[in-house]
Amino acid sequence: MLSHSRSAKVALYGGISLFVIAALLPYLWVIRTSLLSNMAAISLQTPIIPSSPELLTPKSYIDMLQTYDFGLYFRNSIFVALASTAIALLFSIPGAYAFARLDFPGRQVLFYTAVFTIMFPWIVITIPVYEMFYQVNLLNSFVGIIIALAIFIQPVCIWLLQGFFRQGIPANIEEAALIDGTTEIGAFVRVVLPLSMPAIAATALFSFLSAWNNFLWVFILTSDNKYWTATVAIHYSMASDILREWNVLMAGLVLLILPPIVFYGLSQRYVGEGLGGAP
Amino acid sequence: MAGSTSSESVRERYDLEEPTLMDRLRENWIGYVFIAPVFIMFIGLFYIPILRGIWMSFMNYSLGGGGTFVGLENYQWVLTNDLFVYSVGWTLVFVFTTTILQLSVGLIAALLLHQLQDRWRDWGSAIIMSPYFAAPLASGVIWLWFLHPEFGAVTRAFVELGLEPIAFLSTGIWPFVSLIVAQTWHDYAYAAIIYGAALQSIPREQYEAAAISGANRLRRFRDITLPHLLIPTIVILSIRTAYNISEFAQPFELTGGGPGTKTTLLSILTYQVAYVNLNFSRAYVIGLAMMVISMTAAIFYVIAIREEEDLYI
Repeated sequence: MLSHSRSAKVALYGGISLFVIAALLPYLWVIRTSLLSNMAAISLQTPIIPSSPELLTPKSYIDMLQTYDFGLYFRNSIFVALASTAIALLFSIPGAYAFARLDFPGRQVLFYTAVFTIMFPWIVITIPVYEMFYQVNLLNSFVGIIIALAIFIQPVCIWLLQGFFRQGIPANIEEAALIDGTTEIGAFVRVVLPLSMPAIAATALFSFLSAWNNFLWVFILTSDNKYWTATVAIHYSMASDILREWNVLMAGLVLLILPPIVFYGLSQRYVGEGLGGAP
Repeated sequence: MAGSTSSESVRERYDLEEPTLMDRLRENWIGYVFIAPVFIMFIGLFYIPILRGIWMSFMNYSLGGGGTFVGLENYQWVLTNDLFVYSVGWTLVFVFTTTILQLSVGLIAALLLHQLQDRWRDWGSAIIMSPYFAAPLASGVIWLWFLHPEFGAVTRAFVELGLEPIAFLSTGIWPFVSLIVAQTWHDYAYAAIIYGAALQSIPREQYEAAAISGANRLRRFRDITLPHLLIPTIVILSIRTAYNISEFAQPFELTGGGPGTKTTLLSILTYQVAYVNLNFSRAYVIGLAMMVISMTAAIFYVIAIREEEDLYI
């Protein structure tokens, strides 16, 4: 920072390299497997770094999408993540706005009851929700999955958005609009919302990826593979008794983890600023 | 008398009155309309289920068949169950170790990244934070494959080095270590992100001033950096405690509680009692134990963020 001695530099770059290796090694093993044939993947004769080009093949990716229905599972992932993001945003945008900018009595208590849900052990809440969904016939349905995922991502949406509404928009801007004769809701829709589009887009991306990554809810609420998302499909292919196609499984894994890592990698400068305390 | 009237008029003119409850209500009642949808959703899908679960915990409930009131029988069963007692102990060890490791590894990562120049820091962070953004389920599968007793990278490396490979997921203390390492790997970046933001917010001038007045590196760290990291530390400790308790996907995939029931965490036990044994009432009692631990963490969290509301809310 201020002093740059030689040994400090060695320690710095040595430490960074260690972290990079630790973060990447498990991924590299996954990518390696996904580019081999299944026989090569489980053969001890295959070199640790398979450098010869005849060993490498994209076949596992083709198999995954064509033979193993992962196309369907990834489409389901996209669909339920989009739908639950839309619902969560629809509910949390006005809520977060009120928490951040309207000083109504009881605001703080209500806000803490909302953020408290962020830290809740979700496996516990699945039990009564499963039972309720059973009564109203929402198990094994996209509607049930989408409702559950929306409630799962909503607390973080409120958190992220209210942080922006509080700090990212000039104070008293609504009052200017109110003087012009619009109503409170009009001021919110015409003045605050357009200014908030970048923050809303970032929150939408965050909640889409949270829903995309979610395993628990879809796993609990579905048994019919028509409704499986990619995470659940990967779990069931791991658990199946038939010969595991490790290379196909790892190809599915690459496709599952790539979108969040790329998007967060691109936006990570904003992630740190925006998250400030949220998971 | 004249003085009091004029000060009153000054107060009025510059709007210095403390707003009363009624004023706040009159000016901001629309806030209730704005939060109503969120709260209807929370009440319907969060608070009512929690209460319904508590009601279920006093019944011998079976799915679709209703149940009869059994008082504290489920609580008695859970508290005298050997696996539950064992699982509480292992969960506490798991949560304590992973939280401390995530905190310290994340702090080191944040301090190292903070020393890099902007461009390199962006790239470095993108790579070093990447495990946190992969699905926890994926991380479980990744580590299962990485540590696989025949074809895993670690096993292969052991063989190459002429060592006897270890069955990391099944023998001795290793399944516990593997779960802790995998959980630390996946989530240390959370601490790194929060610490990184806190380090960025420290004004550079403070370091320069301290350097000019002769404070050495260690002293600058102790007197300037550390105080800024206090609140982030509380936030990380409480959030990570709550999240490490509720973590399900990764340990479920990596060991599934095995070998046998050796690494059964409370989240996995709750799952098994609820969805394998189909005993929702008893599962909810186990869940209540998890709730007690994570809500204790939540209280610390709320106290911490109240201190610095502008930074964290």
